[in-house]
Amino acid sequence: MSDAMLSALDGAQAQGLIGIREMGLQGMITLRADQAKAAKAVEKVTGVAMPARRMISAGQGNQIAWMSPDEVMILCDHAKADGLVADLGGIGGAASSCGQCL
Amino acid sequence: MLTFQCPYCGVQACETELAAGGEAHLKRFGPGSSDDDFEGYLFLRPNVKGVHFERWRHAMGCGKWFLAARCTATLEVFGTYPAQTTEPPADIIAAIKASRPDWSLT
Amino acid sequence: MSIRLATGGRLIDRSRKIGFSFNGKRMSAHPGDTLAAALMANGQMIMGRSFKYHRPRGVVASGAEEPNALVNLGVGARHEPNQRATLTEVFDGLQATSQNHWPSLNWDIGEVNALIPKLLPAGFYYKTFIHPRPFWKHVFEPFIRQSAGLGRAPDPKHSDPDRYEQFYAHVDLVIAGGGIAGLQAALEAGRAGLRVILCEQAAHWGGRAPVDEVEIDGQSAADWVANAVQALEQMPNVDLRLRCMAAGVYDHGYVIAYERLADHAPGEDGPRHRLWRIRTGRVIAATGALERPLSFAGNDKPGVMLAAAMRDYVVNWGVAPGQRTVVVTNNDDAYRTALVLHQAGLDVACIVDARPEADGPLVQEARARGLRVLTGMGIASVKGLRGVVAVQLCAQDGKGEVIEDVVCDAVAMSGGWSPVVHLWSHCGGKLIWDREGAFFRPDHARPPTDQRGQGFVICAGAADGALLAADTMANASSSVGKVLAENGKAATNTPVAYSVAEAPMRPVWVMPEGAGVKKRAKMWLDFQNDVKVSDVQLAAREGYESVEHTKRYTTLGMATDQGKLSNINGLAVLAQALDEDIPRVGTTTFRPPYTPISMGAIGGEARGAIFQPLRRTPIQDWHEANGAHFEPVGYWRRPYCFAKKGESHRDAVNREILATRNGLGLLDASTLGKIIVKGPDAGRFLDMLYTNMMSSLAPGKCRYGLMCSENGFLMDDGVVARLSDDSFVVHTTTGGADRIHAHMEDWLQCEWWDWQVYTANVTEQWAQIAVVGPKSRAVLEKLGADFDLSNDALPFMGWAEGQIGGIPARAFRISFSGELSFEIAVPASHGRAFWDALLAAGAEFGITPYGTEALHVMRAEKGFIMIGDETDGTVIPQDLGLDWAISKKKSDYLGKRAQDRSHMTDPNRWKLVGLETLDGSVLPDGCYALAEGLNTNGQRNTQGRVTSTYFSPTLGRGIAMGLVLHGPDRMGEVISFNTTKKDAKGEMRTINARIVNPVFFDPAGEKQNV
Repeated sequence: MSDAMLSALDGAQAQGLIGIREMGLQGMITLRADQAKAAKAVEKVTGVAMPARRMISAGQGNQIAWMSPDEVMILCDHAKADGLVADLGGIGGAASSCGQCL
Repeated sequence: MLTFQCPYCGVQACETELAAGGEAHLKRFGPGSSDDDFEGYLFLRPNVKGVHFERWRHAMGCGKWFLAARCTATLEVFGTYPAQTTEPPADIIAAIKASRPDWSLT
Repeated sequence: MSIRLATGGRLIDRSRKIGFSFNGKRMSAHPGDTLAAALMANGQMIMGRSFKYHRPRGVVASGAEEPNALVNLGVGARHEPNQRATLTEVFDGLQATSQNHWPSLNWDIGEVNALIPKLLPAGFYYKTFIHPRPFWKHVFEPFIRQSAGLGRAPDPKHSDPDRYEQFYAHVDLVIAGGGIAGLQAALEAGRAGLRVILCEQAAHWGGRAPVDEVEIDGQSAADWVANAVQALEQMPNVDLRLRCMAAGVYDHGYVIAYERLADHAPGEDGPRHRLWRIRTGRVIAATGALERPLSFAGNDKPGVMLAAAMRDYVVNWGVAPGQRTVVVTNNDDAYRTALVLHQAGLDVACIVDARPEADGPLVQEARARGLRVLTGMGIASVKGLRGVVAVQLCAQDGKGEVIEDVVCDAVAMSGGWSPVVHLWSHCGGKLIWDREGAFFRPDHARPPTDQRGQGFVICAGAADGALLAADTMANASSSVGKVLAENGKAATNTPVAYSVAEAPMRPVWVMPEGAGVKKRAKMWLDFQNDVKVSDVQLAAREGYESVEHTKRYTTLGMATDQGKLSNINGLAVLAQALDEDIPRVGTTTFRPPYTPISMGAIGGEARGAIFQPLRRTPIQDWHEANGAHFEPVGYWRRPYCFAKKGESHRDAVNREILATRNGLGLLDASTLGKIIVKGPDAGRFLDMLYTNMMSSLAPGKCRYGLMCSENGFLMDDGVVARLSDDSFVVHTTTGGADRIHAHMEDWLQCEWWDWQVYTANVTEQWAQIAVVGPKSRAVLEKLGADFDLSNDALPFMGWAEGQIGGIPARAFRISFSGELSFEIAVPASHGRAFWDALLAAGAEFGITPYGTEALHVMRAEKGFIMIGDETDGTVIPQDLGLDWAISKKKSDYLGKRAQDRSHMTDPNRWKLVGLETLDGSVLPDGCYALAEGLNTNGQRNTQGRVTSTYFSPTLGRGIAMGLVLHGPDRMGEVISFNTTKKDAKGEMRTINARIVNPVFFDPAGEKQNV
């Protein structure tokens, strides 16, 4: 039926001294895992290396943001998020995106 | 406006981004324990005027709980350390003794 | 009378004139004038009235320490009371009015208080209005309230049109004070490469030195200051801020500074005030010293002012407070004022020196100029009603016998100087008493310490007790030298300052020393709060020995100036009265802010719509567009009901309930918390968190669970669904997600850290919509699901997932209403589309969106509890008949041990029942079930209370749930409840209600099982 998807701020914009515009739907995956153990598999799936503490690593259209010693947030194309979650499912951590929960 | 270094993410965190969690290293008493032990676990605290071990959560940061050794009278912070321990580690004890030679853990 | 001098005034621009008004009268001033200077230039010495006695008051000081000259500034939305005229810079069009008088400044009815000072001593309010007791509430308080207060608050119909902002800064060094000590410290620290903020509360640099004719390295102080500022402006690592006051020093090097950006130019673009929130390594408090008044009879009259302030007005603003002045002093410094007045061509009637001898260099200079110097003398009293017309002189060592009358129109007084030690003291720095100077100064051995246990505040210059210019500069150099050494640097330049030397001062706390009680009742200590020497002595006689108690009893030091001019004089009088050493009496506690800062600056940009974050569901826009009446639930705004045009809320709620029970209702349940709990130990973990057994829940099933605190009390409830062998989704109450998630992480991180469990808070990743009522399955099937929604495939308390209407969905068959009900979770980005699709497909079934009130009534009709209604932090599951939810198989869970305590197993704990009034009305919220007799407080005994109460349209009557003593054993019994209404006899009206089963509707639960 309806394909219409809305982002949280529905494309809101504001112009002033600087201009601000909502980027629209963004794939965000919360991955809880032992970062050392998961690093190889995550890099294989996302094409991006695990970030160092408090850093963001990027590549292949994806980014990985460090959240805490056992949590990262993977940023990707919104349409690709569910697929990435499924691919990550084999790691043995716990991943959830806005598409599905494990 | 206290500051503590979060041992997990390394940020020198200000009090406003932390949530306080009371005394550290409490021993949990559960079913089968005496009324006195259970009351001690829930309510009784030495309320030290001096070196105190306490819990803090980096609520507006990495979200992890850490522990701190702090003087409740002067607010000197002797160090912070991860919460996954039943007693203060040796380097924290050494830092306290360096500043308070007369202090001991027991 | 006060006048503008023909020449002079280093801070004003005589080439331009600006206009302002005071009490409606138009006056003129020059750019650079403060309001106090401009008023005196226009011959206006009386600027306000004191708080208690309404005595006429003139300006006493020239800076932030001013206690008297408080005015209302501005009109309408920009009206602000209690502004000090000494810090207010005059701008063209400024409007000011005086305070605390009626009908006018000159003729004030409040002055009647002054005629009966004997009846209004310290402790007046406490002693007089305590009896008869009932009179306080109905007679005394309203009257006192009417005449109380200083200044008038702005009209509430105006909202503040100004913006206020807050900045953060991280620096190595904050220097408070832009006099020569602060400037020198900034030069050295700046050259050493430290990041420095130098803030000065006035609108000009240099402090006292340019007025007091200090020389530095052969230059005049004014030139040295100008050069220093120029050099500092070139340093990119030094930030200079005028009109910026360091307001407070806090733990671990946190400093608040208050910058007044636009008070001198209101209405311009940009914020009015800026609050600096600074984290610094060190603070140098170069805050100078304040002169003390002398305590002689009549020292509060307009025209009596501090000696240094008087010369400030002459030198800085070209204004003479008086044309024939008497100078009264116990030290050499005040002679500078006599010399300045003489230099300006003004009459110095005489200099009255309380010391038996005076022949320091300044005294000799005065004599050389032909000025009359009288030693061993004091002022017995000041003559004049609304100003000074003469003073009467006496011997300082006597009782005040008048020796001579001296005609004059102003008095310049100096009782010595007190270093400004506030910033040192805020965070615990201690003081020592300097006997030679008769002042408190910082005790270097006991500074305020930071997180490393190191002293982090250093006082520099006069603030450290180094009052003479040479000492000030040397002290500043050594103070900044300490900070440099900590940073591995050294000073590069130590200027040498010079000012005329001074002979020692002599402490004089009462003038004359042997003054009787009549005179002491006219010696003012606190000009704003009207506290006199006799009041402090009275306090001592009545047993108030602690300076903190004396302060509260007399209100000494409690006015807007916070005792800056009165503290030391007051505690010295107290010490004398107690026959105690001054340092043993000590000072009261110094608290930030140093002077008042605006509430606007403290609030910053957190006003109006952005005061608090607002959480919105994906369906929020639809609610707003469709008449939702909202109620706040945590940071969410949930629809309470959707009232149609002309429909009352009550009617809307009733309509929503009936439509849902009879057909189809729709509720946005997205705000409920959703937490994923996953891992090999997930079941074990949930078994510890809940009273129920959760590890036995099969995948595909849901279970309602209760969470208790370790103290045993019910803290949250919700449905848990098992997604797979090692994964669950936990639902929490709205607003509870963050709290329960934190609770989970606390136990996982700090107690069971070797268990293998991860949690994730996914509350905002899912929209969740409840599709409720007999037609709920029908509308979902109409949308089309690719999975079986029948009762066999998806029974009550099961869940299934797939696509509904082409949207990925997980359907939980859970029911809070007791109707056939599906709570459907869809990804948040699809939430609105799903809602719209349901509305469209449900139109033929009369689909009715409903809000939280209908939700609450329907669950009450079914006897379901609500956290926060049936629970209040003291209720346990066993009180609510939820014993079935407490696993008997588990050996441990959070709260189990606590529920073994005798008070928890007491059979007299009130228990949950339903209540039906005999007349069908609705029981009032929070009312109590009455029992016989009174308790020891004379209050009626109780045997229960109402926890939820509503009108039920389903049953056509009021229903309620409550906790009642032995309730479940007393079914059918009628008990009575209190109300706040009274009957014709004036007795409390009660309502009778019958104890019933709390499941009022469909007790067999048939409707939800279809």
